[in-house]
Amino acid sequence: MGIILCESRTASHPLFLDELGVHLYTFEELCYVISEYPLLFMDDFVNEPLLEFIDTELGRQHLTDDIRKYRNEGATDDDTLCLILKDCDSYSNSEVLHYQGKLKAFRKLAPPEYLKRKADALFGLKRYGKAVTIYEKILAMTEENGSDAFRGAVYNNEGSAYANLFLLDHAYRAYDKAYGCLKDREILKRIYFLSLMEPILEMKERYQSMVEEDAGVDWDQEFEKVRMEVKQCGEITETDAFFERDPIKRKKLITEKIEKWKQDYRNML
Amino acid sequence: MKERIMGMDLSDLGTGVAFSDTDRTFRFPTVLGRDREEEKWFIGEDAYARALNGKGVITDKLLALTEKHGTATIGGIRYEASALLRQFLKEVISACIREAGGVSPTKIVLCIPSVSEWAVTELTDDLVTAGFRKEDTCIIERSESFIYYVMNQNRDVWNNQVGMFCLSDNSLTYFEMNTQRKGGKLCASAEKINLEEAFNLEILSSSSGARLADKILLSCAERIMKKKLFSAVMLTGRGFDRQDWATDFMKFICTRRKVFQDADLFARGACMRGMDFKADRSDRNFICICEGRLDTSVTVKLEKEEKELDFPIAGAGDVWYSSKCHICLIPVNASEIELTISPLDNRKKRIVRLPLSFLPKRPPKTTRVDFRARFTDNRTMVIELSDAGFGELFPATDAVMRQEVHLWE
Repeated sequence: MGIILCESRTASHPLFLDELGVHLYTFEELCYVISEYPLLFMDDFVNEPLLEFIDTELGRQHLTDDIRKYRNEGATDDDTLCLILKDCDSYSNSEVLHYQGKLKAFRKLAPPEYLKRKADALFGLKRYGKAVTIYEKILAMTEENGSDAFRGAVYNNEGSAYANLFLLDHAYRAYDKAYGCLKDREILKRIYFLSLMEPILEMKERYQSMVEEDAGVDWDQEFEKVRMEVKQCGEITETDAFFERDPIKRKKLITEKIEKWKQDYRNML
Repeated sequence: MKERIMGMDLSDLGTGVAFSDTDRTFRFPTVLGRDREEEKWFIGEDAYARALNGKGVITDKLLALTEKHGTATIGGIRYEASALLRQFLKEVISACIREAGGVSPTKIVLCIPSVSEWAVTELTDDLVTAGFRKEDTCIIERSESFIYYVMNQNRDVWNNQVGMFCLSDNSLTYFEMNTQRKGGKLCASAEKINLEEAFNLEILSSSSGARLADKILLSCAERIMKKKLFSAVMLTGRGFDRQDWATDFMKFICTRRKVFQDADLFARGACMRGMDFKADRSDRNFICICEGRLDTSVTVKLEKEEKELDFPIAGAGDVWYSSKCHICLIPVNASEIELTISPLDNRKKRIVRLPLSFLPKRPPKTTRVDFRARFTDNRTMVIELSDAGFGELFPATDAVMRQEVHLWE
């Protein structure tokens, strides 16, 4: 493709997307999130407030007229999403067809697998709280007849989500379950790292003996290496530099940084 | 009811006014005078008379003074030059309306010797202050007025080149206009040259001075018009109010072509421009190319519905000082923006590429580029590209690139 002329209309009342924690102001932004995160917007996204936003805020009455007409004739949410993309110059017909194919493939998945993909997508966007909610839902769904491999993978991802939320005891319990299902040494390593990060979390005796057998020293070195890397990462050195500034600037920078961290953490929940 | 248009030619030496509904024209020296005792204003000869009687104080060269942001002290009060120019225009407009039957014109076209963004803004404001709506005003340069004057004559006047000499005090300007068909469209273009041989009109009062002036003009005409085919020659300016002093010059220019003399040519041309302006036919059926207008079209290559298209940034014949373009673009797997510069001569068409490497690296389709184009004169376009981000998903940065694009190579 080449250079696309942008829609000049910018919404004065943007659309807030809880899934991403952002406001959408333009038609191109709307199309981008639809195409980039199909799993997040396949269900319940096409609704009256969205059509209202497209119509009044983005000034695309022709599109909402078409959508309403086709939906009355039986068009699905997936058809509607494709119709929206087709109306945007940034997306070629082949891209819309590819997107349509992706939606079809997702729809063919079994419900727990579909939900896992969705939760993983949220995890990838650092929306750990929302991902955990879905992982819990999947585990409840598969309690009776889920395979160990699948449930183990879900527990593992749930553990990682909890760890990112600094809920280390929850993470420990999830990894414990994951190890029970998968018997994977990578999970054991994560459990060991959790115990190093939060000594209050006592490793089960059976884990201690497994770790001591052969891997303990290597993992200690790996943990130490990661810890050193984190200490030297850009954000830490940037934050350290605040303390070299004069008190007024330092206070301002620290306030801004803390506000950002708080916002990031709120988004994770 | 038939609309009335006012055409005005304003220079530092003189001001001429013509109306669309009458052949009567008005001329004033560009002089503003104020009563010594009270804030009463006078213009032209009236102002001179009062100054000679000791009843008033005058100021002149109002355009130049305004351009220099100068001031003038009259009767102990310091006035900004722009305020004096505004007052002068107001007085001229009301005096001419009064003299021409009292009917106010609905539209006005003001012609000046040279246009700039500054002059257009300032003079438009002045005309708005004088009671016109902004959309009913138009500021043009003298070449444009000349083109409209000529193009409103019969075709045999302009089927070959048309020359024009404008002789005023200490200024001799030659204008040349030609018409040609480009891509099926009729283009009328004019150029002007300020000749160094200008002289003071005072020399015409003596016979030896008149002979010298005739000789100067003849040599200019021979030099400029040699080997060219002219269908008409126009004469304007105070110097040609009478031509008995220019025997040899007149003999030369009157050979095998029509010669016209009109002291109010620029005011009438402005009025004719106003007739088109009134009819919302900005260029009638021809493209007007002159100092205040572009002779080049500029387009940017875009893609719409998977097809390439040339989006117009500015067109040949557009007024350069008001030609501005602000659009928002999304590069999709594109590393540059491609502009096509198309002069009237299609063989000189060329491509200018603006690299987008200054933009931050982002996923495809998530960078909006603010594209702004403006013109600093009729041959230079300034492009500014800036990162407009992509909403809250990818906030804008201060990445920016400015590039001057020369329309003439």
